[in-house]
Amino acid sequence: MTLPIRIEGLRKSYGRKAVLRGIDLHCEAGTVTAVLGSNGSGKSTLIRCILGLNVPESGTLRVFGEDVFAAPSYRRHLGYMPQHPSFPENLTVHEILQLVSRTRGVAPDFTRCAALQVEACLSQRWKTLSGGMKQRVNAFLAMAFNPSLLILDEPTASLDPASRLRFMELAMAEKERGKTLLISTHLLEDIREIADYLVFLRNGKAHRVSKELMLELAGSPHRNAFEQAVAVCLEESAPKAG
Amino acid sequence: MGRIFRYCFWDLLRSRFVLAYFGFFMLGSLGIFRFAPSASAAFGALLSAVTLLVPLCCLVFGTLYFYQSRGFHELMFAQPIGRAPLCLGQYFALSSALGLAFVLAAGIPMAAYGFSTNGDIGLLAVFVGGGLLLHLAFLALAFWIAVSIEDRLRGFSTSLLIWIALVFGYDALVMGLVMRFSDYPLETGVLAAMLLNPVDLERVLVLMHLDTSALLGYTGAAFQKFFGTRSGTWISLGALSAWILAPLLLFLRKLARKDWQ
Amino acid sequence: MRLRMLFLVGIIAGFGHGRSASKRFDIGWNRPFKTLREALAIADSNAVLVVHPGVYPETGLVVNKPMTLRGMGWPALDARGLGALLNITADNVRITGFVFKNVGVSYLKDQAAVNMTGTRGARIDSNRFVHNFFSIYGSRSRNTRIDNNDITGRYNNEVANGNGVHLWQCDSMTVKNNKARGHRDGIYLEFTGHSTVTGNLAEKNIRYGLHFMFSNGSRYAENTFRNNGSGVAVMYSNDVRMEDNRFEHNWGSAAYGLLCKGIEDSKVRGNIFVENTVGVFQEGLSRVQFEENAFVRNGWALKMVANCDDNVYENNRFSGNTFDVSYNSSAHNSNAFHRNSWDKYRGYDLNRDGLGDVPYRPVELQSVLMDRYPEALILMRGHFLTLLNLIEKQFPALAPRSLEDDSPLFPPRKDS
Repeated sequence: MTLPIRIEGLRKSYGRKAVLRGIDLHCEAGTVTAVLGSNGSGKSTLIRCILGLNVPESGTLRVFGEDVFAAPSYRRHLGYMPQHPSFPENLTVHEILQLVSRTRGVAPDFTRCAALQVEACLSQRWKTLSGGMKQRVNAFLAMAFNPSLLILDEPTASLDPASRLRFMELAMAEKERGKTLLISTHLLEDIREIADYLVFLRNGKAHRVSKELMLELAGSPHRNAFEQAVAVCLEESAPKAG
Repeated sequence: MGRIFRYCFWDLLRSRFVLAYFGFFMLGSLGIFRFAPSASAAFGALLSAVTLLVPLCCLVFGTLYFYQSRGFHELMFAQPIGRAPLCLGQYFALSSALGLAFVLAAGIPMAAYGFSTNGDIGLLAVFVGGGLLLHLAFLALAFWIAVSIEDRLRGFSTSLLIWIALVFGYDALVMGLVMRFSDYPLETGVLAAMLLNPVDLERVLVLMHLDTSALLGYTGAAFQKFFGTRSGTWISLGALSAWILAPLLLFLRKLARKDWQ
Repeated sequence: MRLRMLFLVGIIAGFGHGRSASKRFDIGWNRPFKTLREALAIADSNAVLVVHPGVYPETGLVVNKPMTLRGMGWPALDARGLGALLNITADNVRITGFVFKNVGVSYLKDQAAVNMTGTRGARIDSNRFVHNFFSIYGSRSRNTRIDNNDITGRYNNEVANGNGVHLWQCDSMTVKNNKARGHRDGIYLEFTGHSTVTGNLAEKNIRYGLHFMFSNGSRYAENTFRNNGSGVAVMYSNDVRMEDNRFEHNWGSAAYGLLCKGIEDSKVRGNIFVENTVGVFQEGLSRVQFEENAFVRNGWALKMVANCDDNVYENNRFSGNTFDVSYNSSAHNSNAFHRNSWDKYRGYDLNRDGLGDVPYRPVELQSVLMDRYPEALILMRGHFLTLLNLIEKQFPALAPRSLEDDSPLFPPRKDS
């Protein structure tokens, strides 16, 4: 069976600074993986490599068995929410949806993302949208085309608490539909419920831990216990000098 | 690429910058055609405006556009489309929008004031065609600069430096060389020098069709002879195309290896 | 007024009557003489030969007695490219009313439609000349009037093309109100002194509209020279007066409105130079006065090669020229400019005497550079040169100081 994500020996450095030093990682279908790490640990780099935004020095990276660097066609499986989306600013939301849906060859599913209420702003130009509205269109684009693999890079960072909750409900719904999710975040609240696996990036290597194990490590069902356990892991994974 | 082109072109047609570019050129050429004493003088003045402003506007707006597309690039790269088709679509959309603005802004006053080119289709072809090629060349340069230099400020200053170098510096260099080597026959050398700079090439090509060419004396006669021949036309066309293709290829090469951070 | 007219008519009629007392020969297909040649063979002095309409194939006719040849209804003498037409060797011959055609090209002889050698008092008027090698050719002749002729040459290259009116070693000639086009030189005078050339139109000649050499004491005025290959050339002559002529659109890489070379003690006054590559090109000019000329939209209004001394430029108007004055030496200058109007003048007139308070330097740095390094002309209309000119305007010390108008007109006059 082809895994949604399968990474072997991935290396990437910027100039002389090695960020990823041989990442081995895979995600099983229908699971939610949270990528955790301190600032500069390579979370974004890892995600950008999967998206094909960054070009690694070596290693293999397969999404549903397709080589990421061979052709862009693998991305039809993929839904992605960038942190700062932008579009040609004089296009209407409708035109933007049209452009993306024609590029993917799939029509957007309005009903499954009804919570985002994108229909309300279809005739507005991108530049007239508020920040929150832009984020909702952004989320809509990530999910409305029924991708098998959702990649969320700090998805809730710029959302107000209400939108954040709504968004996490959507993500949860995607999970229940059997989609695979990869989330990078700072906010543990986002992942406590949803995540199946936690990946700690540490010294350019990835360490995967299941949430069950994490909870066991915490030794207590109490919220703070889980967060403390994660914090301990994060401190350990902070890049050491040398 | 075609789809990206269509949507981006449609976006640009409604953008303030393109409208401003159109309006500015339109006002300028209206003024020129209204007050110039002859068609030749009008084309001369328009030529000065074109060789000065087209490179500047294309470099500045080209880099700005690419930098501003960053979020769009990131988002579109999550879709099944390659880097080159996406960015080339944008490039051609931008070239077409600015080129269209240029052609209309120069053409409408020309028609409105009934300026004929005395049946010289060559002048019109060289002026409009050369102007469009200048757009293509300098937008390609701008995209190359923007994709190579991550820092916007450095990107802008590089654009300005390149503009100054090609519009002013290059001529100064040629002048210096002519003064230094004035004892030698220089026609061929000067001709080659003009071929190597798109701004100069466009200027000389148009100049050859204006009355002003008579002032160029023997050098002018040699130029006229060169550009009059079929091979001369092909060589100058080739030189202009090289100024489009070279930065475009460099841009694509850099694009393929670029890391979005 | 009416009386005076009647009086004039009476004089003309009387004059005509006096002539008609001399013997008249009529030439035509239905006349006593079928060809001009027959009539010329027997006509005496003072005869009047009237040629009626028709085309007469002829070559090598000789007029060796004083007489009048008059064409009625434009009879044509056609040389069919074979040789010359009329050769006048006698004094006081008048030729009028003919069409002269197709005199052949010869590289050995200057074959002409009307040739005069060593004559006095000839009058060639109101004829048409079409497609001849030379049209009117005079040598060692005096007191000749050439007027109201319409001369069209062969419009081809310089070699197989002669001049419209060609005068060599003549004196006291009058060339008036003719039109000359399509020849090598429209009007050519060499070693022909004390002559006047007035009211002519010379256009589209292959080389010069007027070509004038070693001809002292002559005057040409009120002519129009337009679209000639190289304009008008005046060389090696003293005491020349050039007045009220128009030099228009002599435009090309080697074209001049007026090319002056080796002229001394002369006057150039009231002429208009419009759209010439070089308005006036000057080499070896001394003590020439340029007054009240207008230089409009020329490439260079004045182009001076050194060894132009003591010339004076007063009350001229310069406007719309790419370069006003170019002068190829900055070391020495004895030419003076006063009270000219320069459209590029940016001075001021505080005391309101109509003259600018700061001198105008008509020689721009740009034109100095272009003179010295002609290849750099290709940078024209480039922005570097524009920049250079701007800088020079701020720091005029870069331009040669010696040549300036000490009292430029303010404000400069507008185009009229």
